[in-house]
Amino acid sequence: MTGYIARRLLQAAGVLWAAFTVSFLILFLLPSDPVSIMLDAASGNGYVDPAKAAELRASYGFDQGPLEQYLRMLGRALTGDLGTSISSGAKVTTLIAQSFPETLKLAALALALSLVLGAGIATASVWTRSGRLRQLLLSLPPVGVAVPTFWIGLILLQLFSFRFFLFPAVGNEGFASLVLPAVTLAIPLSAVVAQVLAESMQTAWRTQYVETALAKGASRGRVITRHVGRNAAIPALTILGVLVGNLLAGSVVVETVFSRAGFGRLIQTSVQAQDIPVVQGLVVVAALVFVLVNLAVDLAYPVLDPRITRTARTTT
Amino acid sequence: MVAPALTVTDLRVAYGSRARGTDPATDVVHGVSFSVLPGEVVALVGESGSGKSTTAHAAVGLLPGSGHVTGGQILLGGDALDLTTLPPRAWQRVRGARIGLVPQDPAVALNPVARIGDQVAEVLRIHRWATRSQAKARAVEILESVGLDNPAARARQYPHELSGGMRQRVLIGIALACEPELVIADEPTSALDVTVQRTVLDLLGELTSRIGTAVLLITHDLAVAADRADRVVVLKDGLIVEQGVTADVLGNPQHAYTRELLAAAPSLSDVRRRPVAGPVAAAAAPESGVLAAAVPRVPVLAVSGLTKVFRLPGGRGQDASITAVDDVSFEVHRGRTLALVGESGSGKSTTARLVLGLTSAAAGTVRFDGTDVTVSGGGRGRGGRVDAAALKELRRRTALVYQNPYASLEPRFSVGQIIDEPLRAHQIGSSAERRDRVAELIDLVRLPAGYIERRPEELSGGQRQRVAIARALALDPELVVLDEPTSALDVSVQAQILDLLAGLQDSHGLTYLFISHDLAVVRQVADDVAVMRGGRVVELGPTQQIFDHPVEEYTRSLLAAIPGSHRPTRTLEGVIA
Repeated sequence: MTGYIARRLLQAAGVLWAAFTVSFLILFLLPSDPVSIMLDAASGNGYVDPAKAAELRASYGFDQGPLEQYLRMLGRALTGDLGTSISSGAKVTTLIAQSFPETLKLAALALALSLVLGAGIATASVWTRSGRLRQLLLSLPPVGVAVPTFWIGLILLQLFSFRFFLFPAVGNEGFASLVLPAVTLAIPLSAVVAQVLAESMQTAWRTQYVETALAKGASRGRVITRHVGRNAAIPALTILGVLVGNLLAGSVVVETVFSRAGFGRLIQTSVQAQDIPVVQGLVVVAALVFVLVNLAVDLAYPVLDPRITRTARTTT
Repeated sequence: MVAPALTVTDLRVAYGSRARGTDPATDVVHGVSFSVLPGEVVALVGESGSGKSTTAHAAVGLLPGSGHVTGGQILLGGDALDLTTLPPRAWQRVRGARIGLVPQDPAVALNPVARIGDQVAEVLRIHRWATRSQAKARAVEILESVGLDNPAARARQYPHELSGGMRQRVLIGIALACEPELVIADEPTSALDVTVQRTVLDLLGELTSRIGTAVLLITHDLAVAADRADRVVVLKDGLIVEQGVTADVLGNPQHAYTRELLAAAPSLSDVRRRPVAGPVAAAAAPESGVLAAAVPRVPVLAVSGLTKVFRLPGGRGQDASITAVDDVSFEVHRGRTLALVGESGSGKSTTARLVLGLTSAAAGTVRFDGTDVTVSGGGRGRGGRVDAAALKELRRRTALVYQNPYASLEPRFSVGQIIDEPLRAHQIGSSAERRDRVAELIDLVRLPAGYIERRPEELSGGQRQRVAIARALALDPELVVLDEPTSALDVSVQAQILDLLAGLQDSHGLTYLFISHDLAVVRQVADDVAVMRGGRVVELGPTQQIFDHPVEEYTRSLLAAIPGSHRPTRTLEGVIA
């Protein structure tokens, strides 16, 4: 068990290193001069002062070879220093630390909503005896996946902020401001959850152990909650890692539409400003979130499914 | 007159839309009537598609998919409760409490993520036979009553930690927990080894007679029905062709179909598919070497000291590995059949894989026609050290027919492409020549020529196995390994495939290595028998000798477990006559 976690942590470190290295290669070694981009971004008029450029080059270490630059940055990153923002001059870690809690709140609420909604649709589609209702329920997820997030956001804003004044349209103030963005983010996510869960619940419903349970005299409800649900949760758990990726990507759109400060907004603004150190820091932090979620998912498998032992999983 | 536990009257069942259900053409059960008295065992026998399973599922209200009763009555117990008109909530009070179900395949019939004890307790909780804590204790008692060792520990285990036989015992415990009036056992042992099958059926018989429960036993195996049932109902295409007291129906069958079934049942008939081979190399006992030396010919296959060790994940020391095949030696001579018999885990299939070079051996040699073709070393799955050319030559001269023709044929290929594949792989002949060869092979396995364009899904199990045999024969092999070639098939189809294999052996001089757990089949086809247990060959000799004068205790217990052996000799003679 300890060996398993140690191995997984080592793998996680490998993924982080790869994320750092690939983002370094792309952002710093592309055939463009980061310093001119920075100065251009700072001045905004296309003029680059050569003296200022040389000074900046030296301070960022761009006058050194790529390998030295890379090793120096990696060394700094290992001590928790991801550099400073070009546009604001603030430390990258500070910027991320400020924006992250807002997005975490948003993502947590959206994830909870999407699980409830998705599981609800999936369960209802198995529960109902009516073929028509089942068809209707199962046609919802494809619609939810297909509709663009920003459009859902705009419709919700139109209805609940501008017509009924129920929730604020913008900002980070209080729980009420969280509701509309979270719902916007949750709708496409719940569609994915519903699709995967409905599929695995339908599969589980056709199994022999469900027949055994029905033959015991169990009601449909009991069979779904006690037998189908837990078995169907296992494939659904697998997509949780993907969902968190969707949440981060979705937060870019949602935080822009609702003008919320947060991780996604930081991504959007720093990419637009070509604030390279911040973008790289965001890539590494996003990779870290991914790695941690997937590690948690892997550790949760044996809890849900006694057939999976950790030793067996590493051999397959 | 005692009221029957179950009375089925003119039952009709159809699949498909309810609106069209009134059309008798869609029925799969066309008016079936029979009854089961309290404490009586009635067997519903028939082949796939006979409607036996549909009838049983109708009686417990669990028809799959679009299945529904279109006519007739199913009356339960003394109060003659009509099950065909029962609303869902009333059904919940009947299932588990008044009717128990023992399902077909214990491997998949228990919830894999719930503890054994909880799954037994659930039925008691549903019918309010016990409070939560009482149910827990009662579940342990039930597990003990079905013969599980250390029941308290078993109750905390999960299904995958139990063997197939133990799981079926658990399911019997669940079915009988509320002491129902009727138990429906749907092919309860067809997925189990023969010795386990016997003990499980013994248990079911013992418990039901103690409680006085009526049993409706669904089986395709006439021998099981012969051993276990008081009365037999023979079904064909959704109709009853014959029913009556077991000894009468099986001893003196009135209907041609019953006679056909009896003739096809391997354990009830003494028909040999081929004449017993001559004494040449009959007792090819490899250890002695004396007899082998006396035979002038080189055996097609000579296996000596073959050993295969599997490493277990996470095991340490003693538990780190299991010896699946342990010092196995035998010879097979040209044109003869050696049967490797044994139960699950005896190492018979692994031995076959070693012979074909599909896995590497830890020790020992495999000689094919005098040439050493052992795939050795490595130890890690396939690969290992072997001469690639020699291995390709071995692949050309040997062939394998798998157990399950539903899984062994590529579903996207046509029958022609499937049979052609070995020819293409070995680049034999032009495409025109290959086309002729495929047509010839299809004819050889007696499939209509038009089947060449069909896909496996359009074929029945028996037809699929014919395709698999044609594919095996494509390269004119000398040795064919048959891994349980008929165990997935109905008895009458099984008989046809065995006849086909016997005919091909005679006409082509084929040598067979016949892997089987079914001693009754082995008796019909094998010249020599090697009995395997725990990776070792415990007894080896000519078929007649093994069956008539078994030396080892284990062989004797296997023979005694063959269903049909409980029947009095008188009726058995009647069958043969």
